[in-house]
Amino acid sequence: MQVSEQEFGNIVRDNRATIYTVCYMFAEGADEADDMFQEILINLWQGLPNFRGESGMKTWIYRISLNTCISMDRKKRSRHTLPLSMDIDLYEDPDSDSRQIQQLRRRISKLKPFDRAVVLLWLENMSYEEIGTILGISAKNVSVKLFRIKEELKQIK
Amino acid sequence: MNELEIMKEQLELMKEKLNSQAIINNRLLRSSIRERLSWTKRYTYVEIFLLLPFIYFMYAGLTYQIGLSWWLYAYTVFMCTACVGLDFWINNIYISRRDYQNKNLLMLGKKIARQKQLRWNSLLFGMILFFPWFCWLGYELHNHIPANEWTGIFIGLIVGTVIGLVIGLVILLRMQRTNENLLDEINDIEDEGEMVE
Repeated sequence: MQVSEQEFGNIVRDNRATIYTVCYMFAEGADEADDMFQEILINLWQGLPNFRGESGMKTWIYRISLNTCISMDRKKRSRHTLPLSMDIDLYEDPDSDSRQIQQLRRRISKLKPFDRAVVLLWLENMSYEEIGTILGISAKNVSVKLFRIKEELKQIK
Repeated sequence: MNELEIMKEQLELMKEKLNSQAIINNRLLRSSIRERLSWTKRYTYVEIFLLLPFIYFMYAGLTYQIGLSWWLYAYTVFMCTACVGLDFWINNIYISRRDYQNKNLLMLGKKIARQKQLRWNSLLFGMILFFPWFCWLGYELHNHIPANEWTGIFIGLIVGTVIGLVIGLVILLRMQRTNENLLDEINDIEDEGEMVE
């Protein structure tokens, strides 16, 4: 899929919450989240010519975002990054909404990286088939993993 | 409400917060600006490695064949080299890689705007060199070409000049439009208060 830079900018703008949510759940701090965000954008830009539109745009963006974060989580490299500009810091803000979000993150971050991906997609109300397509596993495998993850989350406070 | 429903709500809350934010990736923006100006740099290499050698050799051949003045040839070489050299400086050197990486976006925008002005100045400089050359060439041709061939040569000279000027102008206007589009985008980001620098 060939898109202009302006169209790419629009795609990123429309899906920025999704992309940053994934980064937030995988990163340990704002710097790491920034790094992941930028890496995802680069991967999206490079992957766009190969995107044939067989899955939806959102599904494809989730796949790239999750694969990037899982891969970076494995490597855990650090490098100099220009910070993203945002008025909020989801890691530090003391307001009640942000505290709820931080609580969500604390629970999810205790899971293994792949399990975080599964639960994130499930929380987005995606079907088992969709989750399986994004992560490259069968729908049955998704249901088994989700059952185990739900049990694990019950133990996490 | 069970815990998973609470988590879903928390996730929705997070996405609402994020959707109210403009998350600007400065690195990607700068790299995009550099990429969009890259064709102007490539064009100057075409001028240097293709156009200039062609002009040097073609014009040397004409000079020898027709018996034109080698001083005119020297002036032609100087004029073309100076114009292409100026083009190269404006499009390749004036905004350096460091400017894309280190300068804040407002300063980079000012350089992009100044680059536009420099191109107009370069056009003026080229015209100042061109008109004396054109008159001198006309004079030389008039002295060396037989009278019965003069009309055809004259028409060819005019047509060739007009075509060259039109092509040059089209390329210049396209370069200017590239800069204008970049400046519009930088100004939009600034107006929306999304730029932090």
